Amino acid sequence: MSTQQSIATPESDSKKHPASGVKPSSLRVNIAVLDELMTLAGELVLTRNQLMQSIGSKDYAMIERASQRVDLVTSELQTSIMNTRMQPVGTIFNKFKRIVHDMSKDLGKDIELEIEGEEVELDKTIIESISDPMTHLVRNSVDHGIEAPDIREQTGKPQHGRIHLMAYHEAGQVIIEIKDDGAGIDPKKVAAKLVDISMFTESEIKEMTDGELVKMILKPGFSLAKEVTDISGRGVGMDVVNTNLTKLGGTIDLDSTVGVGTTIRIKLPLTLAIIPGLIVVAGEERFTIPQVNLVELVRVPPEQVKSRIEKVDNASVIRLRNELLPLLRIHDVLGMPRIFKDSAGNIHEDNRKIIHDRRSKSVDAWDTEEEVEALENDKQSRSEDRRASASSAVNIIVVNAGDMNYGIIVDSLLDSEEIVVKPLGNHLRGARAYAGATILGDGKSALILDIVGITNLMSLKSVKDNAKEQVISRKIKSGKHTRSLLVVRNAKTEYFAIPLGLISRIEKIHRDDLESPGGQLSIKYRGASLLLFRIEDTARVGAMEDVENPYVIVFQHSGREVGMLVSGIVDAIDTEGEVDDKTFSQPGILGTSRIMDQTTMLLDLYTLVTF
Amino acid sequence: MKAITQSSVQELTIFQVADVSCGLDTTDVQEINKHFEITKAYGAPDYLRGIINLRGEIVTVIDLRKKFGIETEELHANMRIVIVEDRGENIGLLVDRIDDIITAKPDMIEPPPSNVSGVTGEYFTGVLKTDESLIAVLDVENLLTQKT
Repeated sequence: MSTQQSIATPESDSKKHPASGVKPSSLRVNIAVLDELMTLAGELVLTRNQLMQSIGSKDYAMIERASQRVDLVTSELQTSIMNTRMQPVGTIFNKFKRIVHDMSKDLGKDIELEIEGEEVELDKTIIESISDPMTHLVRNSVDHGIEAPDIREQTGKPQHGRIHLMAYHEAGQVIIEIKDDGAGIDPKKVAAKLVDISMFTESEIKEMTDGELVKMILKPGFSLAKEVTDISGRGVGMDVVNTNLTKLGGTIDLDSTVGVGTTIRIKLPLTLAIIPGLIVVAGEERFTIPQVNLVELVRVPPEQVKSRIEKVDNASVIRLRNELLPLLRIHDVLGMPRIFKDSAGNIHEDNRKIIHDRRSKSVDAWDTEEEVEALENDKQSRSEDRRASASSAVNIIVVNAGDMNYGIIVDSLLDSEEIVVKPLGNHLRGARAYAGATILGDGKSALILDIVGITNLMSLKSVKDNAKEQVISRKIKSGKHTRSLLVVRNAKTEYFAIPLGLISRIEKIHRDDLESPGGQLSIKYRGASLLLFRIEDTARVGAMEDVENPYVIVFQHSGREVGMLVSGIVDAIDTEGEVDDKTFSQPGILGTSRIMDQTTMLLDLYTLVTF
Repeated sequence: MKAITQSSVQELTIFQVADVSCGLDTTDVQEINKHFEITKAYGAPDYLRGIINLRGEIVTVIDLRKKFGIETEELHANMRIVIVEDRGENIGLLVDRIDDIITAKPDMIEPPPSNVSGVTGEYFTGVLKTDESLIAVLDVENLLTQKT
């Protein structure tokens, strides 16, 4: 895995890419991938023939089979074509050997470059675009990071400095780390500089933590270099790196300790071309949110809107498992007129006050007539599945933008889809709220929201600690401890609860899609097989009701995704109820609790699943 | 390209934007279509009507009325999107209707006045005087260069 290359050994590859170098116009592709493509192309031709033939003979069963095959071939073709675009990061890592070697010689420093994970693959467009920012970062480390040998000796460090380049996979993303054991960034120097170039006042500086100060070097027009050298210190630097990476959908994080070193962590998406995304609706338009930014979806029922959405420091926040999340309304971000559809499908202008500028009695602003009405409807439909009811519930998409999470309020949620990312034209490139566009199944275009861009656009900050305390203390006063549970149905009258936090996703499936090769229940899911389990397989409970569209609760177990099959979703609730773990304890069931006037069994997901 | 067309006869596609008759060198026009599935791009400058899916390519649509500083209109059946190429990118121009294609000799085109029917002259390369009307010849590059 790790190749250590002392910088003293000269590198034969002397090709140095200039800053805006010519991009290579040809690509090396693995023969195996090419063969696979050929096979798939053949398959596609056969399927087309089959499809044409069956359409000609109006044989619907055959058309269906053919369309299934088209579906399969297409997704395999997609994967293979993506594979041809994947290139190892080693191609850029290796050129740094030369750069570090040359530079350290010029500067009279002794630097060793360690490279790890050069086999990690990224889409070629990403590889091309991170080359320049990374060169900049490595140059920075050599020039500013690693001290001269004599200074290193004085501070008790080994004479030769080390720069560690590392690439690895984490949560569907690629992380690239550039770590040096140099002088680190001195927050005091940063602070002095910030005041010097009057970016901030001294009182503002005092409120910042060291970590925040160090991150200021990512701001435009900031340079710490004492003197302008050939290599760095021209005042355009980290901010350019930052913008370039953000454009790619990546994030950059910086961690530095004076005298110990600096670590820069770059998070990058695997590919930019085809990504999974969630389609949401706001007003009359559909938008997509990249799945990588998605943390969870929260639906606040009308009767809880008042109690769960609060105002702190002039911004709206939602309380979610003891955390406060800043909330944005997509309409406000984009300056859209706010409309909503009533139950008859008519479109009205939304008269609700903007959640941001609620005045003292503003919490009531949510209590417009429609909501009260919806609330009543909601109560009536309580006993049934409530997913379709209550149009005035608040749909919140919790997203992650690098170092912070926030919630986006949208009108409604559609499906999650694999989307093909298309670049926006020059005119829209300035719009920071969009990362690109895509074409949806019906052929209409939709914009992709830039989750990081929106934070900058709205100058969103994570909710300050004191504000957090304020709300938490308020909560303690009310003296309640709540848990979030998903209530599901299996046998017609038996209710089960699952801790919401454990669930990755919920999928509605069709019973005909279920397969059981070798007696193991499974379903085709995102190009692979998802193992399915039933509650009654382990616990002594009634058998699952036979419904046309059962649900699969997808969760993580031992590092893989598995699914729990249930017949229906009842509700997601916050409960304060006590758990009785004696009366009805058995394998797979932790205990029972009274939820919504029903005896509900709490599932122990991990004992219900056996491989 | 421009030098050649200027020395010979020029073919102009004539279209209407509010009260202004505009002409565009036909060689600059990629296609004209009636594509009304425009996805609005909220938060963008208001002359950007939105984006469309042009056979798999995302094309930005510019509302020429807005660009000219005229009140915009709801989409109607006569409206067309004129696709032009600008710096390697296709751009759609939303116009009120397409009128005609005419041929013009270079000497028929005069330099533009400071404004044509209230629209600033900087968007035009010249004005073509015909018997019945005044046609402003669009300067696509200038029109699509953002100044704000």
